[in-house]
This record gives sequence, structure tokens and C-alpha cells, in this order.
Amino acid sequence: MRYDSLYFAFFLGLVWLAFVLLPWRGWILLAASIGFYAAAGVRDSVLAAIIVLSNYGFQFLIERDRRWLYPALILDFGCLAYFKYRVFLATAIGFDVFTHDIVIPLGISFYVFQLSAFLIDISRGRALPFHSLARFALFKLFFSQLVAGPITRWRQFGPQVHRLFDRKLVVRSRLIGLGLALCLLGLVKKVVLADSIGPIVDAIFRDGPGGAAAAWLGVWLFTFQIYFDFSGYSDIAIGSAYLFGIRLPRNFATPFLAPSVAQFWQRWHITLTRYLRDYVFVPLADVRVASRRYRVSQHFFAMTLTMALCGLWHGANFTFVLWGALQGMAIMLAIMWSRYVRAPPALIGWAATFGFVVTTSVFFRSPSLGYAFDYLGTMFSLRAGFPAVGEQAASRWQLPADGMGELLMVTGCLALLALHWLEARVTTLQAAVLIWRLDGTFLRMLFAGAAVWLLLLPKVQDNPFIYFRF
Amino acid sequence: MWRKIAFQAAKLLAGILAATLAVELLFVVISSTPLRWVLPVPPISLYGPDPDTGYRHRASISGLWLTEHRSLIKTSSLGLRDRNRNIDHDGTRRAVVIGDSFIEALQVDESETAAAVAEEILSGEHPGTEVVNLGLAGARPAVEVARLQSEGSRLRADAAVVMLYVDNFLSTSIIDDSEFTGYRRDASGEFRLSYGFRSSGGYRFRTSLAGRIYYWLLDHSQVARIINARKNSGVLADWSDAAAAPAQPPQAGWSCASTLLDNQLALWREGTPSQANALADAFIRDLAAIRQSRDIPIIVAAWNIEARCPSLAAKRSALIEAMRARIERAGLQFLDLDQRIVEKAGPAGVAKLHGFGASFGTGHLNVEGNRVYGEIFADVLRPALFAQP
Repeated sequence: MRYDSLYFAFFLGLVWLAFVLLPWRGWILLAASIGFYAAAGVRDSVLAAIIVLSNYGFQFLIERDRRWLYPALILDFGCLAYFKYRVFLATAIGFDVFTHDIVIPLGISFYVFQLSAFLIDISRGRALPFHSLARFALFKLFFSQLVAGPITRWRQFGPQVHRLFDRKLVVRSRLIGLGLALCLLGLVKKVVLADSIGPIVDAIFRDGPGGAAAAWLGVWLFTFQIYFDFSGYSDIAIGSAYLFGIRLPRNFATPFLAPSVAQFWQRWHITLTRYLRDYVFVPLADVRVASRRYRVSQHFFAMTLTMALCGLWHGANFTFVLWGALQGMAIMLAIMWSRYVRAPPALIGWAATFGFVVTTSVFFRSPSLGYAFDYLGTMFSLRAGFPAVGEQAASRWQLPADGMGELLMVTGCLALLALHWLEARVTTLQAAVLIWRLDGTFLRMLFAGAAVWLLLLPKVQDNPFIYFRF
Repeated sequence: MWRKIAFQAAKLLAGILAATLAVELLFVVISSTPLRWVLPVPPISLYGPDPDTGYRHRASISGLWLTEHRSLIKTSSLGLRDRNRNIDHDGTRRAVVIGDSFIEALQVDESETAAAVAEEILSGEHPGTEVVNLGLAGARPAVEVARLQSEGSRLRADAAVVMLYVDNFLSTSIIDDSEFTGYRRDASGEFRLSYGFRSSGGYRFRTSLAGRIYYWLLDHSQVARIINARKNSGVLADWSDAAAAPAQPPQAGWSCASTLLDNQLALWREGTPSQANALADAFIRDLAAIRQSRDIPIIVAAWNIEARCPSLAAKRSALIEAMRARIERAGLQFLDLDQRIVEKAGPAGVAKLHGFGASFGTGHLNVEGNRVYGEIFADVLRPALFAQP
């Protein structure tokens, strides 16, 4: 069930009505979440049920003996590896024993991470097991963040789940206006911006760019497409949770305005970055493998490996691995730079960071490493032109020949950056407080009405959320 | 208490109204600036009621067509997918091209449609020559005949090209007249043009005052267009597995299955099934009657008879000869359009005349496709228009 569909709006409205009118709030959200995931199909639902039930059992075992953590993680990540990476791994070792491709179960990357974080937290004494299966299931399956995050920790979400079932969670009615505003913001990002940019990006990457300018345009637009797509989804997820009085962690904080790569990753997919920091980077960086003088090298290696794994999490392809490794190396470089060299002026830092993010996005979007290097070669005019790709490509993608068309393209690209800057100015705490204060029937109908109008707009092309495929 | 409820209801309505106005404003801004080529906009609503065919383009409306390829559509003052032109054309020759969405060609600019290309070619040779686009999406043989009767007469056409999609006679929808003009049997058992749609509730609504208000809203409100588009596609249209599935790559190549021609051969050579045969007879009879009464050449362009399969050459040849004989016997001209397309574009080039972007190779005619069709129409209309006494 997609968040940018009318039937999700109906679903959300019905669940909200039941939630407000009936006393069994935790059970209502659990039933809604199960129904929401069941729409993904029987196979995905059965797999999710098996993983949830097994993890429910493991949490008690881990509480008693933390060595049970390893079989639990093997099971969780084994499922992830089998469904998401088996073809990649088998191909990488040159021995593909599997003959049939398997569709990746919906949201498996997200819920496996969330469950593993919970189990690790229990083993570290930072989380308490759920004795009630229903509460554990809601913690895992809450429909608002089930499919693509935010990846929530026990300390953020666990107590809220208990309060829901204990009927202690007071629905702050003034959060409703804020929740609807976030849903509307997310829909604008997705329906108006991301879905409009997507076809141009697809055309450029499908046909191959006809020159350096077209190549830059393609990757620039893709960078914004994925931001609007994923942050739009996250806004809807957080906003719809607000309708039920539940607070989910923020996932984006206008990352393209970051002055360094390290800060970029503190503002982009924040919950994933924190997961990787706490459960991958810190253990790798802290493990004693060499003397103190190799500490920096170890950190460099740990960061590169962590981010390479981050890349691999996004997709089973070497393009993602290289993209992640480059991010890791850049983060270490930025950290070392800030430690040993005087920081550059903020504008230069921002431009270098944004340029790096845009350029490395080529690896994120390209179907193969060869394609990515060809594309980069075209971007930096290292080759005469992009090699012909695919039989469908009648010709390479060209910019409009007339000056006005080029001007409009450049204006549009800069407008995207301006919109991002505007977002940083508008989505502030003051704005949230203002909505909180003005919250009421009028404001709610304004936000909900505008959101429904956007949902009613017929879809010319199917554009599922990009992160749903991860 | 009632006062409080009324106050809340007023706030609720005010909120919805404000949202509607905000969305209206947003789409007005997008539609009237170059942003319309990128950002989402409600699609144009083109069609209105017509007593002769059930539906037709409404006159002088404009908006964006979004399906397959985004294009800015402006219908003519005569209510056609055509440029504005005077209804009179004394001293010059005028042809009409009648067909379905392939002739209508909403995916390209008006000046790039096949009819416009044919006009450009012919008017270059004989200044003032006109080729009018009478394409109408979904037009079946009965609608084409009705359109030639009404519009062809109104435009005082000197020649006509009528597209004949050969599978149409084998479809039962051709006898359905509940929404558009169809063929129904009269008391004597003959198939005649039938206008059952005129008594339908939908048609009565569209021709009533309420209908006129509805169309006025469609022409002046973006939000009304959103509602209309959603009504047409279905409220929960995106509820399907297909919507979530990744887009399938367009199918390259074509089928050379013999069965495709067998049914046509049975119809045109042996006259079976009898109902389809009677329908084909009615179509040819009606076109011949128009040709006779108006004394204009009518070219029937048979279409969708695969011409790229050497293995089917014999069967195809037999079918074409059967069709040609039957159509020419009625005094009409016959055009093997598929063969002409292959001659122009080459067997491998036919697919390149269709589709846009990711769907290149399938779907409606692209700019190149319209150009090729336009050249063919010009070729066949030239003698029809200028060889007459």
C-alpha cells in the first residue's frame, strides 16, 4: 500500500476514526498494521510473521544469556542475505546455485535492522524485552514506519507502545494539525517534485547523456529526486504517526545544505546513519587489533567498511558498495581535515560537499560500474560521448537546442536548490509551534483537503517510492 | 450546542474551500508557465456530447495531454483536433482524414499530426489545399461513417481518407450504441447507423444546463479537471498490483502468427461470421452512399494487417485482394496502409514510428510516425483531389 495513494488516505482515515472512537488503541494499531502489511501479499506476510515470532522468542533468551544474540542475528541477517543478496553473493563468487530470482520482501531491510538493533540493545542492557507478543508485534509492525523507516530504537518507540496498550498515551490533539502538515509536505515532495523529476532522470540514464551538460543535469536531478522521494516518504511516515500521538525520529534535516560530508551524513537518513554508527562503526573502531599508533588507520578502515556496508544495504550491486566506500573515505577525510587543517570558508565547504554528493550519486543510479564510469567520463568530458546503450535508445539524451530551453533547465535546477534552502527556513521549530498554536478544524481541513487533492491527481506514470525497493 | 456545531461545520467547510483554492492556484500557476512541461497538472478534458457520433471535441479549449507524451492541445473553433480554419473553402481543395486516436494524435503538436503533414505537403504543391484532421479517439466504423456524414458534409470535403482497423468488424462492441453511434439491425434485418446513446442518462445530462455548467467548470477550473480525470480513471484506480509492479520494457518485434490473418480471411473471403460480414457490408454500403451523394472520392485505408512477415505473404496477399475487390466494387478506393508504411520505413523501422521515451517502439505514433503517415496520405490524396474534373 503506497503512501501517495487515495486508498492509503482512506485507510489512514478509517484507522484514525477507530483509534479516536474506540478504547483499544494498541490493538487497533496492531490490527491496522497487520492489515497494512498483508496487502503486500501472503509470502511477505508469512516471512514477516516468522521473523517477528522468532525474534519475540530470542529476546527472552538473549536477556538470560547474551550468546543467544548470535543465532538471532544470523537468522535475521540470514533472511536478509537470502532474499536480498543471494544472487549478488553467488555471482560475486562466480557460483550461482540459484536458478530463480526472488522478489525482495517488502521492507525487509528496514525491519531486520530495527529488530537487530533491539536485540543488540537487550544484550547490552539498554532495552527491555516485550512480554506481550501484541506489544512486540506493534513495535515491529507499526504501519507508519514499517516499509521504509524511520528505523526506530526501543528507547524511542518502546515506551510509546507500552503506553498505547496501557491506555496511558494521551493523543495530543494539537499534534494532529502538525501531522497533517507533515503529510502534506511529504506529498508535495513526492507527487509534485520527485515524480516530476523522475521521468527526466530515467530518460537520461536510459538513453545515455548526449554531452557533459546533459550528464550533469541527469545526476543533479537524480540527487534531488531521491531526496524528495525519500524525505517525502519520511515526512508522511512521521506525520501519520503524529495523528496517533506517536513520535517517530526525524530522518532528514535539509542535508544538501551541510558544510561537510560528515555533517551531510548526520542530516541524511539520520536513523540509518545512527544505526550504522552504533552497531557497526563503533564496534569496528573500538576492537583492539593493533597498537594505538594505528588507531587512525583503523578508524579509516572502519568508516570505509561501515559506509560500504551502508551502500550494500541500499542494493545488491557493486555500484552501491563503491558509492558507500567513497562516502566513508570522504567522511574520514573531512574529519581529518577539520582536525589538522584550518576549516575552509563555509561556502566552499558546502560547495565541495554538495559537489561530492551529486557526483557520487552517479554510482547510486547507474546499473553497473562500467556504466557509472562512462557516465562520469561524459560528465567531466573525458570521452567524446556516451556509448550507445540498449536497443531502445534511439539517440542519446540531448538538452533542448534552443537557448530558452537551456535557460529554463538551469533555472529549474537552481530552483530545486532554492526550494531546499526554503525548506530549511520553513520547517523550523517556530513553524511547528505556530501550527501547534493555530491547530483547529480549519487548519486540519486545509492540510487534509490539499493532501486529498494531490492524491486525486491521476498518475500518468507509475513512480513507486525509491526506498521501497531497498 | 447547535451554534457550536454550526460554527465547527463552517470552519470545516472554510478549511476545505481554502485547500481547494490553494490547489487551484497552484495548478493555475503551473499550467500557465513553462513548469507545465515538468510538474503535474490535471489533464485536459477534450470531449463533449455530439448528436451524430455521441462525443466529439469541444470547440476552442486548450490544456495539456499527459498520456504517453506531454503535449499542449488546442482544439479548433470548429471543435476538431485541427488548426483554426474557415468552414468555407471556395476555390481550394479540401480533404478530410477520419480515424481513431492514431489520426487524432494527441501526443504530438497539432502541426506534427499526419493530417497537418499531408496538408503542408499538398499546400506546398497546390496553395490553399487543406487536409482536415477528423481523428477521434475510439472511433469505430459506425462513428467514422457518422462523422464523415456530418463533418464531411459541413466541411464540404472534396476527398476523404477513412481508416479501417480490420479487427473492428469482429468485435461485438461495434453493435453497441449505448454511448456512441453503433450499427444495429433495423426492422428489415439490415445493419443501420443507430443512435441509442441519445436516450441515455449520461447524454441527456451532458446536453442539459447542468451539463453545460459541468463543461464550463472543466474549461475554467483545474480542480474540476482533477475530479473529472479521477472519475474517468476510477476513484481507487491505483489499487492494483500492476500499479506497484515495475514498468515492463516495451515489446520489440511483431507477431507473425498465422491465426491473425485466418479470421480476417474467413470474413473477407468467405463471409463468416455472418454478423461481422453484414457489418462490413453496412460500412462499405454507407461509405459508398456518401461517395455517391456527395460525389467525392473516398479512400479506405486498411490498417493493422501485418506486412512484415514473409511467412504470411501469401495469406496476406489473398486477404488484401479480397478486401480490395469488395471495397473497390462499391466505388471506393482501397489503400493497403501497412504495406505503404513498410515501404516507407522498412520492416525494422516500423516500430520506430511508435511510442515515446521508455515506451519507444509501442503505442501511438510519434512525430516521425505522423510524418510517415502524413506523406502516405499526401500521396494518396494528391490524385484524389487533383485528378478530378
